[in-house]
Amino acid sequence: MVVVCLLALWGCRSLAPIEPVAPDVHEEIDRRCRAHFLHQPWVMVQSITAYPPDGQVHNAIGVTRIHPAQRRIQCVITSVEGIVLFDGEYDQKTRIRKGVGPFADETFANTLFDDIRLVFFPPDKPAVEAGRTSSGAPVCRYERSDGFVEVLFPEDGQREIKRYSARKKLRKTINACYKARCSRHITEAPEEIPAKLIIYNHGLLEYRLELELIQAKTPAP
Amino acid sequence: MKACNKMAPHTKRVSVGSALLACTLLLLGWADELEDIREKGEFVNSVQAAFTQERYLEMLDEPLISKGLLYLEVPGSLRWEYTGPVRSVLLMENETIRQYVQADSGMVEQKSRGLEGMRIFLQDACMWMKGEFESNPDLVAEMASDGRILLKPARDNAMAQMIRYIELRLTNTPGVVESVAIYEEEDSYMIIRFHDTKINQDIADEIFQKLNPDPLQQ
Repeated sequence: MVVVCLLALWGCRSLAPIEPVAPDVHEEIDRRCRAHFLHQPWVMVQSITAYPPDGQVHNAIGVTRIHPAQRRIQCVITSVEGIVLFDGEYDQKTRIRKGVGPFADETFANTLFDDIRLVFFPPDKPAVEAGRTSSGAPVCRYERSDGFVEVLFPEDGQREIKRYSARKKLRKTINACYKARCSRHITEAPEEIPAKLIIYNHGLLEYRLELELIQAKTPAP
Repeated sequence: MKACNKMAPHTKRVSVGSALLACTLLLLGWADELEDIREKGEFVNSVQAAFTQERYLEMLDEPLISKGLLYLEVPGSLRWEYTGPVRSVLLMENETIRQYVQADSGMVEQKSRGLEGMRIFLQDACMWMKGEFESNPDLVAEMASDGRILLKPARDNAMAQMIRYIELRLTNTPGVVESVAIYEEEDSYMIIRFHDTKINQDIADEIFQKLNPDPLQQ
């Protein structure tokens, strides 16, 4: 029984088959997947609550500027008190301008920018598959050099992104809620920007990050 | 234990940065010369104020605004609370420090062992209330000719990696600081402006003890 349960759990965390759909539905799902990535620059401010494996809770504030056309990202993370903990950018490669303590770690910065790219930038290549999950949610699957990415729409106003390793094991799940009520800081949110993001890291280092939108603006040219 | 040690300096520096400023309010409010501080600081026993914090970053057209409350009582009681956009409460009484942060389940106490380091650091900082600047080798204080107080991290210490200098502007009212600016880079700094400041008014003990004291004094 235990073995069955473990196998079931393992199955949930592996790449699941996509149920094929008619060609016109396939196109529509593919278009919907791509529409949710950013197409113009945005600057957003988010509260960040981190739940690391040790049971602690950490708060911070993140300021992120995204240039989709250039695939460039700038990010500053401050403490709630306003002290800059991390200041870095991604422009084809990661550059840390300032990092305090664990925020100076290059792995942290690479993970941060990879998460931001997953949410806001369309994948480099077209979807290798588009269809529906076993529960009927529209899903697109993209292949990248280190594995696979899936974009799903479990319900209206929600988007889910899953990243799998090359061995098809689930490594990250990102839930994006586009309804303003998902963030305690705002009463309305732009269509393109999630009001709340929940990032689950799977594997040996399990942790959760919750990001709630405080403000989002298109930057001055 | 090693992991805790790794996190402690960061935790200490971040929260202490604000708490340090709170401690300096008492001693820097009404001095014409830095040397006067010790003498004149003896007349201030408590400070309570609201504050608005403007966080300036190169990326933002307008500063990010945070609001909060400060309560400070000699010799070592402090409440430094951010009320929004993200609530955070730092309580210090005697040698005990507690920090509460916002989680999905509400406000939770941060159990980090880094708070022990913070306790030691705050004890140092509150010596400043007595004008004992030499007790803290991390910051060097000087008074500009226009009355501003500049606090600069001693060369090559841990704080110097985070801030360039702190600037305090004083009002004409003894004990009342107009603003505190913390400069990290030319285009990265924050200004904390204090208002509704009250000096030497009684503050209920529970303000320094409870997350949600009833009633929270304004």
